[in-house]
This record gives sequence, structure tokens and C-alpha cells, in this order.
Amino acid sequence: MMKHFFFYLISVVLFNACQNKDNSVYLDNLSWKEDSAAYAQNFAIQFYNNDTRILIFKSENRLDTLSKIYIGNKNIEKTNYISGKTNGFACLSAVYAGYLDALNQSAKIKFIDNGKYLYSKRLKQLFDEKKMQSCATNGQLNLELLAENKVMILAYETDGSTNSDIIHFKRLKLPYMICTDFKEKHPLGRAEWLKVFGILCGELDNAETLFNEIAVHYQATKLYCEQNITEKPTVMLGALFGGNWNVSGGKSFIAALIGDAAANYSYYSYPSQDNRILPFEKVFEDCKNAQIWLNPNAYSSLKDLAEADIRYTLFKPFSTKQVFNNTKMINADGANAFWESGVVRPDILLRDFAICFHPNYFIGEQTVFFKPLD
Amino acid sequence: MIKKTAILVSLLLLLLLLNIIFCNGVPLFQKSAWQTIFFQFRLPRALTAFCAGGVLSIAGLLMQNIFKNPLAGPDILGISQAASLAVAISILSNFAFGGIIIAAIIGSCCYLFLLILLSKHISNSTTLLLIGVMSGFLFSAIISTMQSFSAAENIKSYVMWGMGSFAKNTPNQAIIFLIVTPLLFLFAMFHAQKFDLLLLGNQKASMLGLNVSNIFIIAVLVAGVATGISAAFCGPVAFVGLAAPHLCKMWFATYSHKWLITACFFMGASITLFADLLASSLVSDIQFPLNAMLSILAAPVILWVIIKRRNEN
Repeated sequence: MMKHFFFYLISVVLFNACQNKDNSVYLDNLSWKEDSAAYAQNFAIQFYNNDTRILIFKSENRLDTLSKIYIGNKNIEKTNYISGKTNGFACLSAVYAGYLDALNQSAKIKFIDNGKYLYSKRLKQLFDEKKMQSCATNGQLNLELLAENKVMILAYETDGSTNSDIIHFKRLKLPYMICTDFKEKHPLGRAEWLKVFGILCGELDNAETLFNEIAVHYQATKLYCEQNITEKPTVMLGALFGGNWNVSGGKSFIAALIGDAAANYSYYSYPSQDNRILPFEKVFEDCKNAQIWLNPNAYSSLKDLAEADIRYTLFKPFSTKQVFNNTKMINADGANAFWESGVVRPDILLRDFAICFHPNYFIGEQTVFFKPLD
Repeated sequence: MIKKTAILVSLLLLLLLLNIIFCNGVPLFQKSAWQTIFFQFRLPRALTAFCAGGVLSIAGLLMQNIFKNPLAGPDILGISQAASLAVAISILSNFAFGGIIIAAIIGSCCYLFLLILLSKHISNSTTLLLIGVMSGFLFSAIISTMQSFSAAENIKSYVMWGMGSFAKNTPNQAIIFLIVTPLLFLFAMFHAQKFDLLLLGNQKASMLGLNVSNIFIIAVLVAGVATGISAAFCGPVAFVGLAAPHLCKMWFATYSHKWLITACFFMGASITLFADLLASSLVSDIQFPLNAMLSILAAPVILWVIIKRRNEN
């Protein structure tokens, strides 16, 4: 009796071991050829015959690969192998909904982390018609819902709570992709992630066309600024938060945009992409004579700014009314188009910056995301 | 006693000066716009630290006296939690009724009023202490519940407020604090002898003609206003109200509240100024959380009290 029991036990174990054979080794051993990205550093798109592989890196040095996604027509049952069509997407940030919306693929978004802050009419309509649902309540992901639907989860890379969510994605064998688009240094690098989303939707050609258009517009504005504008204003960013000032690094996305719009950022001297927390008096000393002030937190008028802290009035842009914020397109629910589609359209952002910094060179042109505080 | 007080005042003045000159790790005279930086940033910051430390230490001393508990502090009555709740309502639910400062003052004053009403009927200090502690738990639970329903950015704002800071006050706010502080100090000094009598025990103090209920109300009022206004201007400031009275009792070796209140005021102000100086200038242009710095400085004092009491027992 015991003999038979052990025989069955060993058979079951061996059977399971064979069943769990990982296809990663097979897939990784193929001779993938990379189609190098023009600006983006944190992803690689590789091809092998009719198969495509997306690699997402933790940083530009490409030492750590956070996600590997395979797209093809092979009959491979693997969590990160998309055979044919996806079951849709769960976007854990409105930015990813912005990418998919730009590619006219909004209908594929089945879940979003917070449906309240959607700006795009198309996305909002899908949410109102319940074709798209919230997959998080009070910041907690509804893993049961995601497991039931097996959609591709688009998550952002962080060291905090998202990482604990990723442990659950792995445990439940849910397809997911960790995005590091926000670590791109070049504004067009972030927009180039359209290609990643395009591949996931089977719309690479469409994505490439859109990205090329964006790049052409961006470069045209940049070139115009370079060739025509000689006086570069100094730009300061942000406002106080909890007694300190959160300053964007000199190699950040926004610092690059400011430079390309023919202006100087106050903190180019901080050679980092990351934000730096500085005391108010330090920022005052460094930026008191700046000409332009961008993104003073959520303040939408100079009066609000002065009421929040009278010392804001000591900055030159306050007295010259050269304070601009990304609050031009906000709907009744408080959703801001800038956070949804701003990173997808750096060409529009650059044009906005150029109009704000050098209105005399863009007479009659209107900004899209930014407006002056009055 | 006068000599010790003079040393303490000298230390305080030195720290005040150091804070103004070396705050943020860069000497004031090296700043291009030093006048603006002095009047708009460093002086308000130093004065806020001075006032907060001073009034919270007095509050701590009075709480330790009326509750006969060496580990009682200004936040033991749940006043700072009440202020925190009002701030949490303001930040987390986007219900702005005049900003964080007004919210904290309203929250602490409403709770203080309730506490004074209760203390008129409850002369037992232990019961009042328990009410304070339980109210604190209740307020913290409500805040936790609200946090779980709030947007990440609002939670971040609330957490930042909770870390405490002397840097966010404008000169006008510092002046308001500077007006209230001497009033609280003088009010406490005016009743110093009554607090001396209370040390004999409630029964003996009553037999000597002291109205114990009234002195309870006075202590609660001083502690409440001190905690509320500090929470309003600096966020919840940890430990100073607990540590300063013990340091003063140890050094001055007196039970006279006239001296203890004075000493606590200067000692508390010195501790907060020193903590703020460390938090802001250990590394140039990097701010360490104030409450973390205060806890690092004050925790050894509290440990010392616990060990000392254990040895005495």
C-alpha cells in the first residue's frame, strides 16, 4: 500500500515539474534583434521572425530588467507571452491611459486605478458607461478583480506599495508590465514609449507615425527657439510643501523642456533627474530674480499664492505676473489633462513653454496646458 | 538658582544667535540678500522654535504636576490629536476652512472647551488622564480611517505636516506666536504658588484652601492653548514637553514652580532651537525631520527618567 502511495506521489511531483517547464529559457535563447529607440533609454524593442520582445529596464544603464513581454503567435502558455490579442489593460496610472488614448486604443482599457480623475472625454465616457472600471479602492488594488479578468497590468516602478503589489501579480501569475517612462531624461524619450504601448495593442505602425509627428513638431519648435531667441529667461519651479521646496533636478524631464524652449532653469547645477528638497530661504536666494515661475503646486491665482505664504510675493515673477501653471485644462471633477496627456505630447508642452517664455515670438498663439496666474 | 537661570538664559541666547546665523548650514553673512533672509526666514523660524519649545515645556511641567505622572506631557490630554484631527479633516477631505493653522486652533480649542467642562465635574486627575488618552486614541483612529479614503497627495501633505517644522511660518505668524507666548508664561507664573501646593497632594492642598478643580482648569487651559497653538504653527512637536521639565527638575533641584516654570521655558526653547539647528545644518541645504531630531535628543532623557524611577522603587 505504502509502495503504491509513494509511486503515485513521485509521479505527481514529476508530472507537475514537467508541466511547469519555463519557456523563458527557450525564448531568451532566440537571436533577438533590437530596433534601437531614438530618444528613450529605458526600454528595448526586439524582433525575432514574427515575434516581438519588449524589455523594460530599471534605469538607463540597462543592468536590471524589470519586465520582459513577448508578443507572438506561438502556442506558448506563459504569463508574459501575449499570443494574439490581449484581454485588455489595467492602467495603474492615468498616464498609461493617456498613451493608449493617444493611439485610439482607449476601448482596450478595462480597468483604471482611479476613474474619478479622467480628463479625456473618450476615457470618461467609457468609465461612465462602465466599460472601464476602477480596480482600486482607497489606494488598495482589487487583486481578485484583476485575477478574474487576466488583463495586462500596466504598473509604474516604485520602491513603495507598488512593489508589494508586484509580489501578488507574480503569485497570481497575472500579466504585468512595469513602466519606467518617468525616468526618461529626454521629453521625446517619454513620448517614445508610445511604441511600447503600440506593440502591446498591435498598433506599432500607428504608434511610430504618431511619435514621428510629435518628434518633428518638437524639433521644429526647438530649432525655432535656438535660431531666433537670444535672451534666455531664468525659470524657477514648484512651491513650498510642508515647509520645504521640492526642486526638480537639472537633468529632469521638465528641466530639458525648459532648456529646449530657450530658457535657463535655476537648478541646472543639480546634475540629477531626481527631485531635491531645499529650504525656502535657499530657493529664495537662488530664484528671487528669476523671470518665470512655473508650476507653483496647485495654486491657480496670485491671490491664492500670496494668501498661502506672503513670502511668495518676494519673488520677481510674482510682481511681474510671470507665474504659469498647468491648470488650463481642468474639468469639473478636478481632473487635469496635463497629468493624463502632457507626457505623451511633449511637442505641445514645448510650444506652451515657448509661448509663456517668449510671447513676442509667438504672437497670436494660444497655450494648451499652461495659463498665467492672475 | 539665579546663577543657573542666568546660565540657561545665556545658553538660550547663544542658541538663538547660532540658529539665526548658521541655520541651513550657510552663515547669514554669506547670503547675498541677508536682510530679507534674516527678517523673512531666519528670525521667524528661530522665534517660532523659541516660542514652541518654551510653551510646550511649561505645558509638560503642569501636566506632570496635576497628573502626578512623570511621563505625562502636553499631548497626553489628546489636545494635539484633536488639532491633528482638525488638520486631517482640512487636508484629507479638501474641506478648507481657513487653512491648516485655523483648523488646528479650532480643533484644539473645541476639544479644550469640552475638556474644561468635563474637568469641572471630574476632580480625579486619573480619570481626566484616561479621558485624554482614550480621546487621543479615538482621534487617531478617525484620522487613520480618513487616510485610507484619501488621495495619495493629500496623505503626503498630512504626513509632512505631522513631521513638524519651524520653517513654514511667515513673520506675521511668528509675531502672533510671540504675543501669545509671554501671556501663557505670565499666566502660569501667576499661579505658580498654587502648583507648589498641589505637590502636597490634592487632599492636603484642599485643606490649605486651594481650589483643586480651579487649578486643574488653569493647567488644562495653559496646556491646551500651548499645544494647540504649537500644533497650528509647527505641526505636532514631539518630546520637548516631556524632556525639558525632567532636565530642569534634575538641574535646579527645586519644587518651586516659580523657578521651574522659568527654567522649563528657557530649557524647552533651548532644546527646540538646538534640535532645529541640528536638523537644518547637519548637512548644508538638507532638512532632517524636526520631530525625528527632537526624539533622538529627548529619548535618552526619558529613558533616564524610567531607569531612575525603577532604581528609586
